[in-house]
Amino acid sequence: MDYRNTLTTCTYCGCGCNLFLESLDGTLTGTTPCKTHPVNEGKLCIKGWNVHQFVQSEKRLKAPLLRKNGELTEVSWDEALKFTASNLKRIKQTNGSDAVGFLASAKVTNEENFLMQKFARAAIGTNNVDHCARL
Amino acid sequence: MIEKIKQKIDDLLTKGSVTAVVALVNANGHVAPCLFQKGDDLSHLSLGDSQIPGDARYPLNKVLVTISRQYPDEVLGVLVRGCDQRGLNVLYQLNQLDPDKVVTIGIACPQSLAQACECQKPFPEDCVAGETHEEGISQKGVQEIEAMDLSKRFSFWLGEFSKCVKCYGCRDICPMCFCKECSLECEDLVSKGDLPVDIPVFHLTRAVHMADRCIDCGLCDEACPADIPLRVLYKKTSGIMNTEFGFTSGIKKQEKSPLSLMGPSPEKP
Amino acid sequence: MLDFCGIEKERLRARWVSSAEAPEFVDEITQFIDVLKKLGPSPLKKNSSKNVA
Repeated sequence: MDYRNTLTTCTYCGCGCNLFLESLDGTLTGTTPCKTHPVNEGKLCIKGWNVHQFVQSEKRLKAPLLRKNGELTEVSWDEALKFTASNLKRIKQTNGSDAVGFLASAKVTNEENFLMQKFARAAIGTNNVDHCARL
Repeated sequence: MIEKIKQKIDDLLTKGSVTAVVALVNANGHVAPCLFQKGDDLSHLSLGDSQIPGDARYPLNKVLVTISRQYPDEVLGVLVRGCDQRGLNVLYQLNQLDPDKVVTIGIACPQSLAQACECQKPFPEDCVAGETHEEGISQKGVQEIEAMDLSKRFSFWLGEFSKCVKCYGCRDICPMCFCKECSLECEDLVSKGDLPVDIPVFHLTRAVHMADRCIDCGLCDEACPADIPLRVLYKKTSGIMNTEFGFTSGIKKQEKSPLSLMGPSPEKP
Repeated sequence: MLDFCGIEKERLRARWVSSAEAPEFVDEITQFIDVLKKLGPSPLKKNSSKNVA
């Protein structure tokens, strides 16, 4: 009977509400706002209340997908990475760095978002970085 | 008071009277719901008090229901205040919990908290710790509203309901809410997306749905990011239930809600 | 609850009328319309969410 409430910060906006991810035997069962935290004082918005839903969602991708003949098909990481790298290079050479845009995510860690923008700016050479929370 | 509770929990776990106890813990500087099992360290147990009594309460009944659904055959202990006890009585009646599988560890709320909550019965059946107070309950919040004239009441509530951001926090934190399909998510009643929320549909629908279930724990009020005085609204509905049917949720064990009965009206008290 | 929230309670009416009681139904509705006309537009109408910016 492994019941836990793991204190963590909401990944969505920049507010930083603290909440407990409730789990029972390894499966997430819900979210509870942290009442004693100075940022949110026990309150959450609708996104915060449902932050547990995407983590173990069945809709999450389990393999890279590539569009072949108009249909998304599962491919290996090697194939996916080769395809992406070669095309990014090609677009950068023919249309310039700013022809590429990068959309980061509120469902990944700060570290992963940092890598994303670093890749955009240093490797590709564009400032076209945006984020779903800005929409 | 907390030492008596720790002792009681330790007793129950050691003797094996319960498999685990749902209570609160003070960890990482914050109070959180916690499941204590045999051999666990009880030194950081919390009763839900942080700066003032009762300001770090959580819906422990809800945690109990979540766990007992996965472990229906285990006997579980739970820390209860007066409101939690009322909640349990209602949950037993609605078949969400088996009373034979629940052992309560009761604490009586201090006078300051009982008065702030305007609580009808700030202590559970079996009190392990705390002095019981039988305070005459005032209903200041409700009375203030009733003293206003109709149009003032309207602009008051219009102002309050317009602040709603539809976070559904009131519903998500409520220990008595367990419907798999919530009316507040039914598009025929509450339209999707738009803010402000459908006034007064959203809040009155909830109030009426909770009429025979609300135990007046006040967690909804504390969870509202817009500081809408939800508790006053639900206290009014409970007041109507009391006047019309002589019914108060959870006060009497095994009392069916009058709203669940078909037939001639029960005798008015 | 409507009254508590500042909406005239006369705007809500609940009556049992059987489908065989057509004249009673007509009477009930006619009386209700009179009451509503006297009350005027609902306070919710001029403050409806469609009008809020």
